[in-house]
Amino acid sequence: MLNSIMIGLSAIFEPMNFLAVLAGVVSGMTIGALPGLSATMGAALIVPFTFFMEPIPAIAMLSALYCGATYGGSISAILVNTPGTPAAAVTTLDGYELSKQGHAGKALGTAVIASGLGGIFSVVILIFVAPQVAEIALKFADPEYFSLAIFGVSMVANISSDNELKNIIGGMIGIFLATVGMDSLTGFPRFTFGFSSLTSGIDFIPVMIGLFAFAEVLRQAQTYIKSETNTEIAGLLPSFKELWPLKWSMLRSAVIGTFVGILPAEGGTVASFIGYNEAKRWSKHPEKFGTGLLEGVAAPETANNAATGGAMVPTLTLGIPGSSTTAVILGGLMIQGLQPGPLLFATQPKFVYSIFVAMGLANILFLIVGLGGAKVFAQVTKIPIYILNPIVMVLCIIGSYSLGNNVADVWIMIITGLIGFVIKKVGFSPAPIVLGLVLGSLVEVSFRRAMTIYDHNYLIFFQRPFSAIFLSLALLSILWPFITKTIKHRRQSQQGN
Amino acid sequence: MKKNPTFITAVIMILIATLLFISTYSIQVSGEQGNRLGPRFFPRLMLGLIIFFNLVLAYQSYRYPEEQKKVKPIPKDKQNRFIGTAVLGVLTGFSFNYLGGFTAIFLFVLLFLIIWNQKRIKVLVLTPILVTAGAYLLFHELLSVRMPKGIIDALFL
Repeated sequence: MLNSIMIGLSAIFEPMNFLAVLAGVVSGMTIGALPGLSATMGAALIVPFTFFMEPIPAIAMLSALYCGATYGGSISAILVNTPGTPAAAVTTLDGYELSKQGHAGKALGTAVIASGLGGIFSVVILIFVAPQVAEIALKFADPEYFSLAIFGVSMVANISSDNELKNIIGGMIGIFLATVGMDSLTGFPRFTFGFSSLTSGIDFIPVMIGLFAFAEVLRQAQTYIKSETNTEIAGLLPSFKELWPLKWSMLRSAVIGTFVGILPAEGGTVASFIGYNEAKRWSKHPEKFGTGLLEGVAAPETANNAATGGAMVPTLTLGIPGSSTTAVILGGLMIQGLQPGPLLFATQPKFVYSIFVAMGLANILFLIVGLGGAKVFAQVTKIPIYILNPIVMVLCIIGSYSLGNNVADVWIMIITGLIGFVIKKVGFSPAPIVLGLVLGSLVEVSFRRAMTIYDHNYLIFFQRPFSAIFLSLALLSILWPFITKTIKHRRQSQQGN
Repeated sequence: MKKNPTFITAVIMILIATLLFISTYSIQVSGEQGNRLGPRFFPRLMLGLIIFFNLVLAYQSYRYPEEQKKVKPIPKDKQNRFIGTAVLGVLTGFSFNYLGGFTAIFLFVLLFLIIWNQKRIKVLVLTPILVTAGAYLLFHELLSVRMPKGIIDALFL
């Protein structure tokens, strides 16, 4: 393993690769700092640029962007009480309070240090855990892959939305969209309706750009109100004496964040909320949370950045995205002709370990850049939305087009953007659709191949231990929100009586 | 009955899924495969599940309308901007091929700023020029993306 890490280190310190990581971190921090632009949206907008790159710098840049954007979200959360990314929502509670009290510097310093440490912790775990998971996954055949993909899609039930059923439907729609185009096993066209551009199927890049970026611009068109923002950074950075008491809280959040990140379809947002709640629960002064505590900044920021490394575990080892951003990174991997999964570790060890090192380096780089350039990134939040949104839209249009120099992809982006806006309004989340679309062909192909190999024996999915475990977990994750809801309703009615 | 957006969405989805389900009969199949696990099987399974879950959603939203997400209408003063942005997106899709990629982008940025109520002449002039020039340098020159030339771009490129 040490040898592989050394190979990864030497690869990442090649000038082009290092520059790609640095570019990923800086663009990630910028995107993260801008309210309305999430890490997923940033990654979706950057993916088209990676068509023109080698696999290592391409994925290293996307991974670095993921780390940088997750931290970047805290900048606007602390300075202007508007989380740059959903994962930084809970950081506003204490971060903005500190800012109002004239301690913005301390809050930003704590956020960057906590984020960096959380990220590095999760990368270390990633380096040790991922190869072990990949080794187990090498024994998987079609039934296991089918069950695993179902488990991955089933986890969407828990993605934030007002209704779990809507998430499940979203996942199904995504899987259905993956069936459009030429059937991969027989070559017969499906749902092309005479459009030759649909024969190769619906690519998930324009869908992702439409759902995450264009839909967001439309949302801002109906909500944007001009506001004055105060981005002055007052106060000094936190001292060692102030940071040392936070060590257990940060360690706890790092463990929580990494674990939550590993769970398919869970991400930094869930991790940050759990990290904050646990810090409050374990605190001797829980009543002080929300009044401007450094611990209230450190805990969620450690957790959400720890989730980045965790989310890469299922993405790289099993080909199941750990979050919506890693779903985009997964798309980036596929564009490079790489099939994420256990074989990636066996056939491309240099690539895999380069990505691990790139993520570690990204966390160190944003620590340096964040501490040194907080004032510069604070200015980013001042960019007016009427300048930012046309730039985002231009990136949406050219990004979709450059996928295959095809105007049809621009249309797919526009249509999914419009649909994405409407369905989000009625409570559907776009993430399950993307997850379903990314995993759709794996679900179908592994199911049909398993059926052919095992002579249409449907029980095969329950007879093989790993497959049975994944299907049981899938069933549990689909039913879990309904179980907890029922329990909650019963408790409420009992209390009412 | 009060407006119930979730119920309406579920019904629309059921209708679309049903139409798509019917269209699966036109998918070509070969021999025995068509009856078992051919190219029709999986889309039908998914569409069946989409119909089933939407029926549950429709029932749930009808039975417990108070538990459904309240859809905020678009504020009146923002309606023009919202509709304008959406229409502009669609028009850009059309003009992309006919006028040319960069011309479409230039016009898009200019009209976007107007729709978003930008009145400063400096911003209205400089932003479309700078964004289009930036897009040209980055995509055309650096990344060699060949945009559609259309009738206007063809005069310059």
